[in-house]
Amino acid sequence: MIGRVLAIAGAGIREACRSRLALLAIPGLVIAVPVLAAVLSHDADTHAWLARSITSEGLQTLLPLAAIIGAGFLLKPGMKKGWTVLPSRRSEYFMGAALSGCIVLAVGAALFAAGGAIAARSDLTLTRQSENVSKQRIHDGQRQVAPGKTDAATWANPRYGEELVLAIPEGIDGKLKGTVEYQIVWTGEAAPRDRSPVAVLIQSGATRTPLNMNVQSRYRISFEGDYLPGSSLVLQPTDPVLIVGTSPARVRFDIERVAPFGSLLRLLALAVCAATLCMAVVLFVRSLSTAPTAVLAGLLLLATLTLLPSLAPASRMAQDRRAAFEPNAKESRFVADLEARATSLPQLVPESYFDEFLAARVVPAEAMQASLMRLAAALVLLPLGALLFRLRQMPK
Amino acid sequence: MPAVEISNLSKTFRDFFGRRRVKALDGLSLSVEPGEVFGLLGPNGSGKSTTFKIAVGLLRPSDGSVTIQGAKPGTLSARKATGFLPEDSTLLPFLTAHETLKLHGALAGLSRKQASDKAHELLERMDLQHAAKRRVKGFSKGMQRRLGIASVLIADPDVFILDEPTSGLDPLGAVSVKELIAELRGKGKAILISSHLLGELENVCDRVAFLNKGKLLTQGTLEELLREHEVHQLRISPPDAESIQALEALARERGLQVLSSGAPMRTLEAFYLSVLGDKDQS
Repeated sequence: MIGRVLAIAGAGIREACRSRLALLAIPGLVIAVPVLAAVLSHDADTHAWLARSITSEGLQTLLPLAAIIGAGFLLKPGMKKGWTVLPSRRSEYFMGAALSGCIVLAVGAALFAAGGAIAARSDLTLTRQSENVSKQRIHDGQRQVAPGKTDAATWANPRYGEELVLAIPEGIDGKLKGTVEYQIVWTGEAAPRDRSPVAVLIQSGATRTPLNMNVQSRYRISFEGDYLPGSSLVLQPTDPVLIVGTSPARVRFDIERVAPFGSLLRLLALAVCAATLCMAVVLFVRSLSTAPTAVLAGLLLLATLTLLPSLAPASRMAQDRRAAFEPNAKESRFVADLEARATSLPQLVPESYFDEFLAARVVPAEAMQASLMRLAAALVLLPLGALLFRLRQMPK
Repeated sequence: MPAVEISNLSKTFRDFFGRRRVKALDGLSLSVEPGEVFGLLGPNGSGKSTTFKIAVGLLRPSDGSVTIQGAKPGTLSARKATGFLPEDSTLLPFLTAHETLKLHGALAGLSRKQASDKAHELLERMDLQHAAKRRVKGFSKGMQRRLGIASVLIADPDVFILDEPTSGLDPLGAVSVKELIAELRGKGKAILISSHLLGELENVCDRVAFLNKGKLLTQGTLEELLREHEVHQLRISPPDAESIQALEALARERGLQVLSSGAPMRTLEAFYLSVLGDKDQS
């Protein structure tokens, strides 16, 4: 059976290689990132950012889309196409076609990522997260400290003079550099006033020194300053109408600079496995339906696992906060569950890893684990699709 | 055990809502023995192709059963035992002729070398050796048909299901296919064949069945079905006019009716082949 699947996969790969598009696609994929980055950038920093951005968008968004559309037209069950009447089981043709599709997809993605590696001229930063986040306030001249959560957000309300204290990990000397991602909850008492609702300070004993701060996005700032041994970082909410929260995993300190290849490889694996899962879903549907229906099902899956987790009415941190303030809130259980389910859906291509790369930081090794999970899901779906395809009738 | 056994086979095509639309086959029963060529005849829509598709596992019967050497159609053993040549060319256009045969050989379980050797042999036999490295999409219909037949032969199956095997072939090609069918019959292969050209089946089939609107009208050997027992044909040579008149007179004298008398006509195919044969010799 394996021999027949491989023989059919070989023929499928030959078909892809011999299509007219292949002549353009192979060099096109390799030079896409270097050419776009060179044409659109005017300095080294922009070039590096563009190279990372195009690579990241290509792998995160375009690859699953290509997999969905490609998989829709991968199976050719009509007799006129010839595949149906090969002297093999139809399930073997299904698996052979799926295998050839996966190989073509992986090679295409690898060529594209190779272009990204060629264009990426700057190293990435290896980071370490904060060890813990706690909350402090000065009350009646006394500093009161409350321990924070390790796996969820800790919140600070500026109305009560609360601040977040972020522990600095070991291994930092001289310069302190890093980023903080935070979540905000608007109290609705007045309009927010500042561009950033926080200030970052370094606190050593009773001494507090502001650090240089740069607003990178709505929920993200970077900071830089001199490191004082034994000190800790303070995130001070500055807008009285915005409650600020963060978790240890969202506070990153820069450790060292490393080459981007390992990170690119992890992103490539993650994107290929996610695209393989998309392909498996489309093929599963295609085993009993037409190509447009199968493509539609794939797009639906992509939309569900991409948009829903981020389209939920409130993120998990905001829910934590609301639960802390309104423990007995009378909310419909059904709606609350739906919201929780939507936010806890796994993303098809987890944004966080691509965001790390985009921010010139090393992609963590757990990206590989996420890849394997997606690959395993695809490997479960494919034999089921093959079974259904075997049962399908071919009247034409 | 019959090579192909079809018993009480029915097939009804239904629409999306399960409503009955077309009854393509209605209680068809027949069997094909090893070493026999069985012809399936009938007008368009009579159910020939549906029978073939059920026999190779592409469709499931609504009722009744088909077995190929005792195995259910669509199973691997049935697929390996069956060489199916559909009416339309079903070759993969991006492969070369040699690669096509190698793929079919590999799927039939031949080693790489065996498949390659056999592919060369069959290409030569089908007069396609000059096109071995050309992609199928550039082939003429006749070349594709010959390659299709070669791809069926490479697996050396015991049962051949051939839907219009001579379609698209020139008369010479058609004759070589008929010779091939006769050779396969000699090797003990069972052959189920359909064609719109009745004359072609007449030359090669041992038994034929007539279908119309999915129903079996009649079946039997050519001898049983075609022999006209109420007339007699006498062929004499050389055609001497006086002797012929005497024979006709004798027949009338004995009360017999002379229905026709004259020089017989060759078929167009026989004439074409003789002309082509003369030309080749000169």
